[in-house]
Amino acid sequence: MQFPILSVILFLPLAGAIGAAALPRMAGWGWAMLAALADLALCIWLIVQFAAGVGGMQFTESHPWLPQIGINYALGVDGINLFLLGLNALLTVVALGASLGFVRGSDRSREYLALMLLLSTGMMGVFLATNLFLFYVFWELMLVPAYLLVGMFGGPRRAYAAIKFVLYTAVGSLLMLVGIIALGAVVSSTAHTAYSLDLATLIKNGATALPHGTQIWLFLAFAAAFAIKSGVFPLHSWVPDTYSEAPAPVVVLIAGVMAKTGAYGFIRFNLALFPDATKSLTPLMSILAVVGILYFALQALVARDFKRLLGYVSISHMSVIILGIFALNTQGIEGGVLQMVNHGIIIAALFLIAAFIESRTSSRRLADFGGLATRLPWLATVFLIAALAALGLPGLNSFAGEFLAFLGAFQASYVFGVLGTLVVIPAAWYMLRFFQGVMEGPATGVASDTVMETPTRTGKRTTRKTLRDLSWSEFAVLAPLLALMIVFGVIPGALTNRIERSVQQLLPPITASHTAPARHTASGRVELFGVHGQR
Amino acid sequence: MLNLTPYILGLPLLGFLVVGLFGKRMSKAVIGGIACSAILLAFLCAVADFFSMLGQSVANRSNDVTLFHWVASGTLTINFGLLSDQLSAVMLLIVTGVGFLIHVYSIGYMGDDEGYWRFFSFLNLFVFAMALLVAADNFLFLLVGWAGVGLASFLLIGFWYTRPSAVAAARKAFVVNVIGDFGLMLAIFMLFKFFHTLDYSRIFLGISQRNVAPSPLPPPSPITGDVLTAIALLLFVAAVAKSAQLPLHVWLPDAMEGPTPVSALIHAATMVTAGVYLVARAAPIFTAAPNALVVVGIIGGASSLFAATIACVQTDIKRVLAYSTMSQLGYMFMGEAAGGFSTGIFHLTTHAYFKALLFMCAGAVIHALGGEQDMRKMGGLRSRLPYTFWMFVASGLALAAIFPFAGFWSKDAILAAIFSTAQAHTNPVWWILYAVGILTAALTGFYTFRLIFTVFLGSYRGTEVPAHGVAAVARNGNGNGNGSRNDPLANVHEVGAAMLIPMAILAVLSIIGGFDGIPRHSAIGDFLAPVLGVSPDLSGGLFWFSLLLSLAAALIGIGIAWVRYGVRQHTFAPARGLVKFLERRYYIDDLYNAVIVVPIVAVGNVLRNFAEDAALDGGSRGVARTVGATSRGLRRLQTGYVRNYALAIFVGAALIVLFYVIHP
Repeated sequence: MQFPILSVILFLPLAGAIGAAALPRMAGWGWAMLAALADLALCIWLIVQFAAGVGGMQFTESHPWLPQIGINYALGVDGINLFLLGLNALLTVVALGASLGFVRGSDRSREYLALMLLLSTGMMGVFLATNLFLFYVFWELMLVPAYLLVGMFGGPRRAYAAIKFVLYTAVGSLLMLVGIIALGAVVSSTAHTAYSLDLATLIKNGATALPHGTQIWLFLAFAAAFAIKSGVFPLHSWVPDTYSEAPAPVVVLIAGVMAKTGAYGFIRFNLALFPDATKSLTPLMSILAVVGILYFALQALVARDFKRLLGYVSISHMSVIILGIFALNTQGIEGGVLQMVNHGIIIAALFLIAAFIESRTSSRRLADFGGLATRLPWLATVFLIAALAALGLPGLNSFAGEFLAFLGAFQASYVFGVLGTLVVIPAAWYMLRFFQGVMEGPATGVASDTVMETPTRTGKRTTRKTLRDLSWSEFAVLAPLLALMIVFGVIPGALTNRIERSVQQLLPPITASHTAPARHTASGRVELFGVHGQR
Repeated sequence: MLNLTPYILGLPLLGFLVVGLFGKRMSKAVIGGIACSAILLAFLCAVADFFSMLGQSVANRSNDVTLFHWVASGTLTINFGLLSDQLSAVMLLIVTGVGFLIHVYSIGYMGDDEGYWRFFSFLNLFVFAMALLVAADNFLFLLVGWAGVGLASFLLIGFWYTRPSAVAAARKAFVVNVIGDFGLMLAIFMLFKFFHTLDYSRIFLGISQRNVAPSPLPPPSPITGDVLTAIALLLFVAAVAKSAQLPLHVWLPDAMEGPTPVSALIHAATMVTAGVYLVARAAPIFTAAPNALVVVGIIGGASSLFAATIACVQTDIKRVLAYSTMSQLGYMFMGEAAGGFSTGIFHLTTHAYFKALLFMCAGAVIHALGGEQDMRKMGGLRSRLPYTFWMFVASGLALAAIFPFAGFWSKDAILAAIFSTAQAHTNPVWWILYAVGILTAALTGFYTFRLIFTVFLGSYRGTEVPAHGVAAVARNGNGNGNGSRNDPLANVHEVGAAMLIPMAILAVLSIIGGFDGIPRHSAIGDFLAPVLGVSPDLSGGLFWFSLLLSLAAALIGIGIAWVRYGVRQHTFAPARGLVKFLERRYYIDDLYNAVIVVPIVAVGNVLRNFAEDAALDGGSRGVARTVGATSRGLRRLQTGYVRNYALAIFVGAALIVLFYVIHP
């Protein structure tokens, strides 16, 4: 038997969680970190071993679980989830690294570490599962630790944020569960086959050829869960609250990885299972994406709290990914997948930097800040690099993904392409407002208080902490993220060549779809909203 | 053929990384040495490439190397390739050559600044990004260089980052430039949609082969003139933002917040010339889109006249020069619009010499006066700064296009191209542009010499200049200037050799730098012709007419400046009426603020308060409250009293009976 690498990747964090729950504080952290690092190493090995030019799932595993009702333990990896596994493993390591200070000083470090790793396993399972029920199990499994982490370890409004988070995501999950059960039933009754929830079996049994009306309902049931998770307008209201209340390492996992499960779900299930519905609902999804891109950017522009600002930045970028996916061409979807990875790297770095600033100044109100760079030059430098990556500076990683996504959107429709691309202007504006507002200008607010402070000769204790620059441990946490921002900006081709084949396999059923009202153009006329079959 | 382009890019990049990462612990001499030698070596590579290219026959002067594969997606393939041809060779010589002189000058100018290492690493980054911009062989890496230039300008304009005005200026420059990036991205999307490639060579081949896309895939619709016009105009949006033309010029005057060597770099070697380069590089696209060229000409002409009128009333020494840059760039675009792409590049080269020198001279004045930039507080500096004065005059004559200084030849070539195009076309716009060119020539003469006369002639109008810098104190200690309390300029001295030597080199270039473009024997025009085509030119009597007309216009402008500012001391009255209108820059900044910035922020705030907080957040809370209230209401029904349940059963039964009675 082949070595079950996917199962090992999936359950290593769980082993870490069990150990962390059993061991005392620092030993638990060490054990957890070890598990996370081993998982990351395995993911890198998987990426290296992955055959780029081959379509379909690789390293597949399948074991019957409840075969009577179509439930199997089935895992697989292809170009679409390959790098998301790596992202999850990397950000788990980063999040644990960033938790070191918290773990040292907390009585509840066991719960905390165990929940973090449980969250990581849940997200791994979401990316790996190729059976719809298994997918749903992991989908719920990731929700529980996330809720507990926000609710137990969050900021002052954590209870409100956690309840809101759970209510939003639970509504979406339930709709998806209904969709999963209905899909299995409809397919088995139409094709007169045994009830199965394996993705491949469903497609083989004609799930993609269901009547248009049925597809629409099923599409919407799945889309509800995925849209809420990725913060699609107008289902985003939980995002700024959760992101601003949750502790930074938890946000690293929620914003960095969990938000991607929504966008990933759209590709893996909606596009693959419901091609006709995809085609006819594309205008709706594109409109929501474009509205979200611009509206969230505008909210980031006027935000007063910098964690909320980052929350809006995050979902504005997530909407770019959605726009790329629903361009329904190679560049768009590939850009979307690439951007999921890039966005995870960038948003994790930004939230960590925001937390570093908050921990030094006990404030996250933009109005309190100014001129910190004179006091914290290295923090300002890494912040600038992350901010430039976030605003899509060509040469850094986000540009490659956004470029492909916008290019794809533009090929599909001038209107959506132009309006989506327009976001580069407010993006530059809000990122610089954030960066310059905190770091540059005359030292005011929190920075000036500390500048004014001089150690008294009597040794009287002053209430304000002295600002210290980026510590080595903080830098170590950020360093891999910064390095990847540069590497993936210079050679994005290293990722896309592994993503491409899987994306191209998705497209033929959608482009061949005839159910949707076709918008053929007279030769020479440029169509405005239509979708070209161009790849 | 020799192709050292990778080194021309690599050396400044290396300098940026080394100084940027380790500069904090290096001595100033080491920092300056690394940064300057990186650019000097890059310049020597560019020179070697250039002479190697001259040794080749005209057909073999283009060389393309692919360094690595960037991304592939579907039919899109993008490589990182560097193109070495006549146009990029000229541009690289200017970027690295003038860039090197500015680096050397900065050693003197920035000597006392504690951010010395930061400054030099950013300067190297600037040169790297600009070199990438002009050496890329496809539009995507043009965009990478394009944005890199924007980043470097952001870092350098906001170099003194504790000053609120510098921070605001840096942000403004970056955001306005991103508007240009947006245009460039859309142009790239259009190019890919219709040509399935982003490589210059394949796109230009596709255009020359008339509607045949150089790809196995057919374009979605034929590449019509309208498509090319749209692409050309989108490219021009990018050029307008980067080259500070109307209506996206607002960042350039504010960019004066950066240290003066940065202004020299932005205005001469890097940054603003990028737009002119882009239009020249995309010459095949623009040539195939004549309507777009008319737009280029109108924007260029309007910008050149607009900026010249503002320059006539500004009182900040650097702002006068900033508006003059905008005006001269307008000339370059007019020349390109008239089909004289090589005249635009020719003027770019001469402008680089004299504008770099003008800024260096202005920097010398500012340096000597301890940071003063207001011309109204200057005057009579000629005796104190003799070298600076004469070099200022030389570069001023070049800017005003006086025979035989560099600017004379290049501006004349542009005007001749416009004149010639006006003759060949029925469209009256070219005659108007020619008239604008002549009028602007007169204004240029006026504002240039207004500046020189006000700063150097007459008597000093400012307050006492404090001694500054170690050197000044040392000199005073020697009893040289310990002097007279009556002389407010006691501490004013000519700048040091590190600044004077590069200035002297540029002064020589400002005098002789135009001889490579003498009409009808234009070496630079012939050299660039295989890439940019032959510029339209005049012959015989018309040639002399145009030449003398522009010269006369410039001399009239200088004459008026002499009468108003030269012969007698000018008193600056508070601005009123038209002067006030010009001084406030036609109120365009205020207009943008009122019409764009303020409404966007206001809408954002309104949406936050109503859509985000009230409707969405409140809505989701409302749903929760409704569910809660309903269940509380329903709970009240379950009282546990049998009589209540009995009543309910009775009412229900009665209603059912009633229903069947009414609906038999």
